[in-house]
Amino acid sequence: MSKKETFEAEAMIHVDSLYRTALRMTKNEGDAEDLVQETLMKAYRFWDKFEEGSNCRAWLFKIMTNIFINNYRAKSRAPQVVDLQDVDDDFLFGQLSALGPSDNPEQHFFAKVFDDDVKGAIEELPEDFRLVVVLSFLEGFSYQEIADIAGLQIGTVKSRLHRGRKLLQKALWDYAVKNGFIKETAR
Amino acid sequence: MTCEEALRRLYEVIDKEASEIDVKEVQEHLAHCENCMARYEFEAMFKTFVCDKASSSPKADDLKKRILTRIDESEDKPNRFFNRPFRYQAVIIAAAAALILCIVAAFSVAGYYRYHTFIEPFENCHMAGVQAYRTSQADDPAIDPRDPEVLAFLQKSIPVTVNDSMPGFLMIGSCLDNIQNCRFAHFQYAHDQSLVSLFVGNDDGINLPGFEQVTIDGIDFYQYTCKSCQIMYWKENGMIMVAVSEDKTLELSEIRTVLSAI
Repeated sequence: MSKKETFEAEAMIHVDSLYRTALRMTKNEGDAEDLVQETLMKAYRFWDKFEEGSNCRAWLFKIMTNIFINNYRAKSRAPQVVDLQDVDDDFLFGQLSALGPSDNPEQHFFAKVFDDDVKGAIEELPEDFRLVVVLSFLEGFSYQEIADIAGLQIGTVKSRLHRGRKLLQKALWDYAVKNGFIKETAR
Repeated sequence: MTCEEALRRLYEVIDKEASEIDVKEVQEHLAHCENCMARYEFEAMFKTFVCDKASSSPKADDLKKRILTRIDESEDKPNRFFNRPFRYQAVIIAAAAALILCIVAAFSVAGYYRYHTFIEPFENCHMAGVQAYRTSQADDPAIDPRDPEVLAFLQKSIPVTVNDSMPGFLMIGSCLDNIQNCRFAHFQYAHDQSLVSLFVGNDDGINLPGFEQVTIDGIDFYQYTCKSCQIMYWKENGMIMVAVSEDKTLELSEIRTVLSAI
């Protein structure tokens, strides 16, 4: 097989998944398409550097993450301060449980929230948290793979994922309350 | 295992990152702890929920096509140059640099050759009288060829007087000069404050590169402007006429009229 044929068979099959992550990271279609194109052009140029049999998908995500961090991330890079002091680990679970055991509030909550609302809540996450949440939840990468892709310690991946979950749950709860899906009860 | 220990492993178990032993111990705990079980179930549900809701995204088929087209283009285009190891680039850059150097050198040599074989000899003849006058003076005066003293001096170096006058052109004199092994009749005039020389010789098929060609009244004139003067030549009746003028605005046709009066 020629270089282009192997590339098509092994790398191009991941375009949909790369595009999904690119959409969540850049928050718009134009930038996401450019990011994916740049990623694959770079991957093609370095295709002979890719070790056959190793994880092609993770390799592509690593290239894309680097391009994103260098060229696309928000211009102002002030440290991302996230205040989670008043958010408990079981924030959403606690809120929903408090609504009462009878009418199955979790099911009600999950049924009410739309796809776009979840996507929006993910996009509202600060970039550092968003990246690990997307790689873990949507793309199903392991902690070790995420650490390799994002160039982080595995402990950092765990803590960002933990805090990312909390932020996401808080955001979805606030959203549901704001739209009247759920009546907030003092807890 | 306590509830605290079970909840500390919560996300690792849900994300399938916990060791087999941990998973087993957690499962044992959950079997008889309703609270922890509820929490585990909720977090697992939450993960599935996010995954289901956010995984869908538009098909990127157009994008794939565009990428493949760009790959095809990059295959035939010079982008490949940048993919090569550095030594290839170094060789190509060095070769290009050498070629440019050669071309520049060839042009400068041609320019140097033209200047020294053609322009400079005429220029020297043209300025000979003035240079001699300058040398005879203690200071470096601004020279007006109509000044009787200057005129007298110049006429000594250009001894033959032709009885001729054109409006605006004061004949200083004429002589024979040997330029590049060709004999030229040299006529010199004062035109305002500047000198104009006309050289007339046999056309030995002389042609010079780098002169700008202008056709006036069916005659090809060749023009060249250098630092201190402009030089023009043209051919008529088997003769070559060369005009050297300090005044760079002097018109060709004007010079030709002067010459036809001789």
